[in-house]
Amino acid sequence: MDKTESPGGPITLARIFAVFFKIGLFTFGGGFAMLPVLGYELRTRRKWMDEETLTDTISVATVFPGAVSVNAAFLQGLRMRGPAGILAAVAGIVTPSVLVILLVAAFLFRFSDLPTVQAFFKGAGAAVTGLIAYAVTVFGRGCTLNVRTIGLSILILGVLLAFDLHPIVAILISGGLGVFFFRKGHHGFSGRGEAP
Amino acid sequence: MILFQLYLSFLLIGISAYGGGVATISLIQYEIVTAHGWLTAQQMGEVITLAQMTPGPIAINAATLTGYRVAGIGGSLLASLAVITPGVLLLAGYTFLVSRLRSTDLLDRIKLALQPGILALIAYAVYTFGSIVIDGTAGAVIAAVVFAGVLAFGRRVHPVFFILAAGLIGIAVFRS
Repeated sequence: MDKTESPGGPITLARIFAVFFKIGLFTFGGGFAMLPVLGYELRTRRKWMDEETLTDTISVATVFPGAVSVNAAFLQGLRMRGPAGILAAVAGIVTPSVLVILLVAAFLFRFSDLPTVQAFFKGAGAAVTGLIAYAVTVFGRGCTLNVRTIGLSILILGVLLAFDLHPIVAILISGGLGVFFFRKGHHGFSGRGEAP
Repeated sequence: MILFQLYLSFLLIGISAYGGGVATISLIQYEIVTAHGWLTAQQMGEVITLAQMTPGPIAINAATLTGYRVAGIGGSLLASLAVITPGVLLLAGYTFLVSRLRSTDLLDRIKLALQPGILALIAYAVYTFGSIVIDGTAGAVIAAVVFAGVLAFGRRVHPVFFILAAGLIGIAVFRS
């Protein structure tokens, strides 16, 4: 296992928990904000990983299902302290979001009938729709775009819109046809492509 | 029984959550609103909107909120655990069996294969999410302005700022 040691001696589990807690606390809005924060905290500030390891971590974290930040925490926890490190890092990144949401939940469902709250969410929800549309462009830029990938995207979107199926079919169609389409000789992979 | 269903539902969301939070939105909506009716479409709109404004991954935030709504604190912890379980188990298997933490040719190919599906899912979320929160011209205009705004200033202005600003505009415009 390639251990990345800090200059100040071995890194304790509590320290790993604390650093990932901080990353979890300051990544508002999911992956949009997570990747720069992760890079800054782990590579730039603490030197827990080098550039190549960071790229690798994000790349692996993105391919596996689930939240990219949780997967990244898993990998870095494992790299630093083995299974105990995984527990510390994953618990660290998940805890702030669960705590904050529980605080919010205690209030939200009590006040969500107020006209002012509903009006706020109507405006805010519209903004989130705009942000999702923006995410299409961000993810698209990170993709290997050619006639086949764009065509397949449009085909899958058409299937989803036309038949009102469980959205998981998008992953199944893409994975199934992708294995067929992208065989050896098509490694135009750019290394990015995380959705916000 | 409902706890078990909740666990299964978020397990399924966890398994199919590829490509980061935004790609997961239509999956969450389908499971929670369409398939089980645990939240109304309007509540779902609030949950996703809040998930975008609070720290942490959208899927975990949505799991915590939905679980809380359906079955209290226990439900929220269970749903949050369920959503991270598949990724953690698969990663454990991968790092143990295939590669010590390195990206491999296999992973690059999977990633490449999934890209069109993820892109379609994000585009689909514009439709599924937009259709529950936007019901008139004013909402559509706000969405379009925010889209143009993040395209122009996205690198310098945090997305949460746009959501808060639009919420305040919403209070001015929609409150009757």
